[in-house]
Amino acid sequence: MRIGMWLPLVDSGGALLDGHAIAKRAQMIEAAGLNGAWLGDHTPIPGDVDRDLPDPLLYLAISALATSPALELGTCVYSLPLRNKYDVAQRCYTLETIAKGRFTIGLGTGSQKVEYDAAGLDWDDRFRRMTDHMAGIRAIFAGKPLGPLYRQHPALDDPGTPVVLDPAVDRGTPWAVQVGPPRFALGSWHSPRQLRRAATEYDAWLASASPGAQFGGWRKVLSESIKAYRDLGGKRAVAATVAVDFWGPHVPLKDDGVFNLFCPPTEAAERLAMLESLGFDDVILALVNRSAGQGRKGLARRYDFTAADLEQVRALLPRDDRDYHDV
Amino acid sequence: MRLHLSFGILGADRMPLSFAEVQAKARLIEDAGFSGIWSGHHLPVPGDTARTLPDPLPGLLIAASATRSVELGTCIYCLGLVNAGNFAQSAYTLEAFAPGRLTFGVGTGSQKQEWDIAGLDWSKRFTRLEESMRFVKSMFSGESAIEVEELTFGDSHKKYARQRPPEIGEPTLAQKIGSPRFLLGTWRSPRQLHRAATSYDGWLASAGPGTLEGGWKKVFTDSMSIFRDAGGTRALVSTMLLDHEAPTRPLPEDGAFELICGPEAITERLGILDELGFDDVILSPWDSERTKGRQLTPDLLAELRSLYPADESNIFTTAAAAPAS
Repeated sequence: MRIGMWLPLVDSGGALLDGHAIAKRAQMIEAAGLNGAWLGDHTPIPGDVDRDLPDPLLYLAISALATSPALELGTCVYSLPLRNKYDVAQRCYTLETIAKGRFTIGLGTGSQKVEYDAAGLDWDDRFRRMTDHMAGIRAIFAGKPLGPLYRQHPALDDPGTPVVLDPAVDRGTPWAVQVGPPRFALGSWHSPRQLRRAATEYDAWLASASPGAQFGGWRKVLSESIKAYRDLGGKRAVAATVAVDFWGPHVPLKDDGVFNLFCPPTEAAERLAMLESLGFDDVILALVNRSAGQGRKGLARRYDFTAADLEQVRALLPRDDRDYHDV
Repeated sequence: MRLHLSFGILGADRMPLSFAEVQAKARLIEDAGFSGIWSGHHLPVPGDTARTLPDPLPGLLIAASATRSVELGTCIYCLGLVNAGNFAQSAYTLEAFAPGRLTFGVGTGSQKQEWDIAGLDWSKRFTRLEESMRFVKSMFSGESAIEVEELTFGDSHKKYARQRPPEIGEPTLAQKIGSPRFLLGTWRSPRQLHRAATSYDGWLASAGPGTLEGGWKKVFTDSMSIFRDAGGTRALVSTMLLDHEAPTRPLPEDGAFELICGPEAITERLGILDELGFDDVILSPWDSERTKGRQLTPDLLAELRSLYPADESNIFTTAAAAPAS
């Protein structure tokens, strides 16, 4: 099972990393022999420090520029329906232009209603919107018009009379088609419909390691979901995001709770072996330090790893050097 | 009047440049003495070859990584088309990488199809832009736009919520990083010009089609007067097509403003913009079929830079000069 790592966002003093520091952290992940650098996504809300995150795609772009193609770069997960689908498509083909083949864009609805409220979007419409958005993104990469193409310019044209382009005229190949899409993964918990989509329409499934007691606990959810995913022909199952804290209070792993690595490294290795035995191809880890983060707010709670930390993480599982491009 | 250059991650052959090439291009522009590097923004439309421009922000990020002090900007970013919270997030992320160097020219965008395919109402574009900008500014001021937070986990049928007051007093990431500058891109609407003067860090005029509405002379003169009378401090003009090797095209006052003419005429025309009171001009060189394939070289950049006397006034700390008499 491959191991991906969340990039840290702040240094040990709680200050946001600058571009050079982010590049350095990505290089440290690669140097440790880990397989990928990943980040999550939330849309910030004014005044809410708990929702503070930088733009993950810009962080990943920096990481791509600082590391070799051996290191996969991904999101887990990028909240697609909150955005203009064509904005996301543009960001994706621009990233592919910068570093072809490096990116795995894990997409999902997002789990925070407040982010929909702030954007004036209907939370109950999120799954329909997700499907619609993905269709729009695929249309960009297919280069196929979804309807008449027209020009309507407020200064040049009467706003009521668009100039419709002649579909018979060959205008060449859109750049998005030339560049091609990144890999897309679908972030989903245990919905059969979403698992089917992940298996049949996406390149991978991003399972959440945090289905708690309200869903029946990690063992039930992950084992049933991965079986459903594989039965549908799903090729790549990624468990994201598993929190790791070697230093803080030990938290026993209960089948009906959340999967975590709040335990010493030896036990963490055993826990990861359980995930591997369930059939996961990848696990994405986020190092935390609960004790150090206590009493802090927002990003200041985050942990900045050291090279020694990454070595400890690397030692949890035997290296899996399967090429992420192939799965 | 400061000179800037438009910038992208496409080469002269319209194919993507490598990371190193983008860096080198940015460095060349800075070394030649230009004051800024600017990128435009349009969202792609499926199947429309002319509308698959790159996202400008990674290009500016790469440019930031290769330069020291040059201004980095958008002209313009179609803010109304995107999620304002995510735009603010990108803006403060870039600002963190290049403190004090980012200037986001924002506007509604001028292409109705980009609104139509996003399911957005073109007729409400100005309202949406204003609301979006208010949201962006609240991100940097920390004023909570939302009084109650509801956290929802899992599928809607298994949701639960907890309520809490906003975290008053704890600065957010956006507040800690601080706001970049924002310019309002607009043609000649008095209301928009007033907003540019009073609610933004400046006005971004277009040398493009808007000037057809009465011609550049009338539009620029009238608009500049409104902007300055409203207290506007910095006026830029973008999308200024330039080809100094092309046969000189006349500059009728009732047409668009362009720099498609010999070097001496370019200098003269830039002087006109300076006299009109513009503080900055963003040049778009060689945007024509004739010059497809033309590469930016140090010699060419030096030649372009020499077309107008250098203006070393500090973009970042100095209010713009008053319009020339």
